[in-house]
Amino acid sequence: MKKIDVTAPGKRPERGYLHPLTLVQKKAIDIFTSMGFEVAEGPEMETEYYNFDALNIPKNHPARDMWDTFWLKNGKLLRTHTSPVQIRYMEANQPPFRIVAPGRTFRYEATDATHEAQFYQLEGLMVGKSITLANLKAVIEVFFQKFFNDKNIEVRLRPSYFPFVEPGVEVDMKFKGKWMEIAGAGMVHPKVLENMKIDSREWQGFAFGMGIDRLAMIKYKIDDIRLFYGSDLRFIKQF
Amino acid sequence: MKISYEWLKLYLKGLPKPEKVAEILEMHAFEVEGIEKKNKDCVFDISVLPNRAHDCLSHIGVAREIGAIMKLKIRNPKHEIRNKFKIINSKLKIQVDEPNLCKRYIGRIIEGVKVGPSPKWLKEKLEAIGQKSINNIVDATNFVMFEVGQPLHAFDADKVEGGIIVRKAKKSEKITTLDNQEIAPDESVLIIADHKGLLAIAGIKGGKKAEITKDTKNIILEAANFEQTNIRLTSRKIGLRTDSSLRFENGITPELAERAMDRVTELILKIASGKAGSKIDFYPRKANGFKIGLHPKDVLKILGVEINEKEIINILNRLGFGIKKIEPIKNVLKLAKGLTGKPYKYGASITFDSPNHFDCSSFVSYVFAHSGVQIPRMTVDQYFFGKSVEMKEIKLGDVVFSNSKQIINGVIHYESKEFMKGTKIKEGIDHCGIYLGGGKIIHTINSKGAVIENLNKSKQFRNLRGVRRMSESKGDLLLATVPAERLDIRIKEDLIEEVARIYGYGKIKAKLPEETIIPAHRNYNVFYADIVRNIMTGVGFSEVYNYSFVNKGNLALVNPIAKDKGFMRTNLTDGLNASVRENSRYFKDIKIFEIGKIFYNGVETISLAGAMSSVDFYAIKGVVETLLDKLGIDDYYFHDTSDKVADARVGNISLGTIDHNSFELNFEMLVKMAEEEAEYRPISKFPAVKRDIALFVPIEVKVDEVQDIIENTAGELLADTDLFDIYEDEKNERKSLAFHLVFQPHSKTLEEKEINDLMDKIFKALESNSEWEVRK
Repeated sequence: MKKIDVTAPGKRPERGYLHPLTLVQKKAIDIFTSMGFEVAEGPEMETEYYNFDALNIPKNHPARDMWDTFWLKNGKLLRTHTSPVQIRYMEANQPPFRIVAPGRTFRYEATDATHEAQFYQLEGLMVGKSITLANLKAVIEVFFQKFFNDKNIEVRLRPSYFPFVEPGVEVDMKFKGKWMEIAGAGMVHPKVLENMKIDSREWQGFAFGMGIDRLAMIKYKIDDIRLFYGSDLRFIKQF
Repeated sequence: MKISYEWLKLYLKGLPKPEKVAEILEMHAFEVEGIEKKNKDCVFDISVLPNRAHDCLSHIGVAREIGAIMKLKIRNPKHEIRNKFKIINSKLKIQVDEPNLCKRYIGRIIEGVKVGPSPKWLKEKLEAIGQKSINNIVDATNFVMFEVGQPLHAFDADKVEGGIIVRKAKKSEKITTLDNQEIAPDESVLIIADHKGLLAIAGIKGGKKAEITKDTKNIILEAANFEQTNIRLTSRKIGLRTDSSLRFENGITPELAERAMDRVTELILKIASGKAGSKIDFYPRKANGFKIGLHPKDVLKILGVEINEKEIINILNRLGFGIKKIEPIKNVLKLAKGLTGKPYKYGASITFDSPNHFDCSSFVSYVFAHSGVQIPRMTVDQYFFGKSVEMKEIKLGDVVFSNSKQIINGVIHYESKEFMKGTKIKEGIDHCGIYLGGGKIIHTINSKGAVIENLNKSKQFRNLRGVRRMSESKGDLLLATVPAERLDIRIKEDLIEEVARIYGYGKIKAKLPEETIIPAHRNYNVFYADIVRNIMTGVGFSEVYNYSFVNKGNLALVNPIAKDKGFMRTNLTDGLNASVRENSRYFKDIKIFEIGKIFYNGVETISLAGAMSSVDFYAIKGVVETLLDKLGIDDYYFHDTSDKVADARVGNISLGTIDHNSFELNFEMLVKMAEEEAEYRPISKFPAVKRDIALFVPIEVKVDEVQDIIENTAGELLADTDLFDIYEDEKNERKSLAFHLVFQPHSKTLEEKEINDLMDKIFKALESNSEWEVRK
């Protein structure tokens, strides 16, 4: 037998690589399922009712301008956020609720390094008898600490407005000493619950939505969102 | 909205440095998107979202916020016309034909103005926020709009023929706007006209006809309130968005018109002189002040942090809310009794008609609302909203419901309309009243208005439907009167948000939920997507995410982002093939896959596809076989198909197709058929026997057909049939197939003879096809 050179390279079996957005979604789902959240889904092609009306964004309301929408010739639209999944889930289930809903969303927007017309969001909804804004802060904080594997991450809330929550907040995360905007959230608006025949005097809770692409960009230090959809294996084979 | 720091100083004493102002606004009110130094001023770019566009698209609005946050006193702009100037009688005629679209219209004539340049301070203020100075009159109206948020307009009074008419445009009317655009509004557009023609597109843009010029002597000032949806639709239709339309389309209170009119009059008299006429005010329906009840416990319940009552009152006072401590039920009884005799009006509006007219449910709703208990407007909704109470346990302030059999007025309802919409009561309901104790009830009926009667003698309560308790609250409640401009504050939760943000979200400590965790249900799509991804990467495929938009398909976008992105993808394969081509510049052996939504014939489904750079049908088929095996789908087979090479099927269901270098499967179908549990089969103790068989068959004969015959003939002993060689002899139009056969006995060792007999049987079966030839 010949002498083996242990420093020569091994013969590696061929393997494939997962997309970074898949890795991020997997990790997020793992963390949330460990906290008792179920994964829910909804269609990318939505109706105006689920995307807007049921979320307390009536037709002709100026708030509709907050979501630049792609309309389809069949009268439907491409969901502008994952929030319609909240409605679909509440319609089919009885509280309490604990769900996360990752998925592809669309905005009619010019594309650049930080904006894409298609991107991924992660929706969260937790409804119970006594779920508070302080709970929202804690759940999101725990999530980011686990997601970035950094116990020092802090979360702060700032006033904002989304018609389907009240109060409505912007969530900032202190990551490596810097505050950055990371999610929109708030307490589910009583009207949204009542639209789903859920008595808002008995049930209350929080909802949040965050950009999966953005999470991936922060986690892997990616500076151009368009890389996710370019199918360039020089990019994908790094993960 | 651009906000000038120097401008804010007009209303706030002790304003901190601009950076500090930006910081406190960010943490308590709005996002500040930029701070720009401009000469001696500093300009903030503040993102005012639709909920605050009612009151904060103005300097005074932002100043009020800063004042409330920092506990600074606001100096409201003063308007002291009465004391300084002589009021002349007006010759102005105003006619409003569309009271639903124009809720208020205040007009005023000022005679003898001197049009000229604006004073320096005014120019500076407007220029700071990017507005061009035009002349003192126009500048004054603009200044007041950016100060208080009420759009204003000034007409040259001598160019207005007749009077002012607010109406919808007529067919083929035209207007030339101040910026020289010719617009032909359709008949849904609200316009301001005189007796000859159009003066302005209401709430959006003024017209050339009555423009203020340097020769203008007399002016008509307009401070009006136009209905928001109509302004929004018109503004979109004619493609004109202005600072005025922006404010109207978000909705502002009609109360603002008067303040703005007084302020702009004072300003014009000061900088352009003249004599002011009295206000002509068209304001047919003034809204009641809005009231909401709040208990400190409500704040704790939503926020999860305890804020004491004194602090809550203090915060709300700073924001301009009037606060009164009341005992709800006591207040209900007192208020209700005080309204005895008020006349009946079916469908009376709580906002506009109370407390002068009521119907039965508006009476109940109004009395509770003004006692801090928000309940639905309609009888049937109130019935489902309240907590059910037995008649023998009835208490003061409970609401009694009945079916009057339509002797009052209106309609019997059988299901809820707004609250928990669609909840049914099959006995029907149409009437309600408030229990006052001692067997007495107060209710509103068309013959007598609000009346106190004995419950058991009242005709309307013969068919009782139940008693409901609207409020369990014991002790005091804070009754907040909402400032007129805060159209965003309509429910308790809105008030809680006000308290929370001024108090500071930073002071709310994170606290994990105490509720018990119920194990999450498994999501099968996610579960199997994970498994599929593992299988695919295991066989060397990398995952890509392609765009949903493509240049051809059967579901088109109304507003595509680009010409070549006009449709939703109907498959993943085309995208993968393009990705293979692009990657071929850098890689030799490319294998990729994707899981994603496709839109075939308008139906959305989850698809799974793979593609590779080498064209090798059997290789890609092998990938599909591995995938299906791993998913526990074992009864699949492959069939010829017209547009691709093969169709993968189970029974008569198609799972998808395989092409020369790609495959695409219906992922949802895979999830349906997948079996998570594999079943263990005992490993035989007896040795397996291997034999080979080779044969020629005509070129069109399928491997499957041959294999079927072998397997059917061999029976249970045959454990595996494995095709190990195939070649096509094109000249003779035939092909050669060679199989390994594995025989596995379970109860004894196989004898040589048994195998030979079985093989003979197989040969015969194969050769019973006349053109098949077994090679021996």
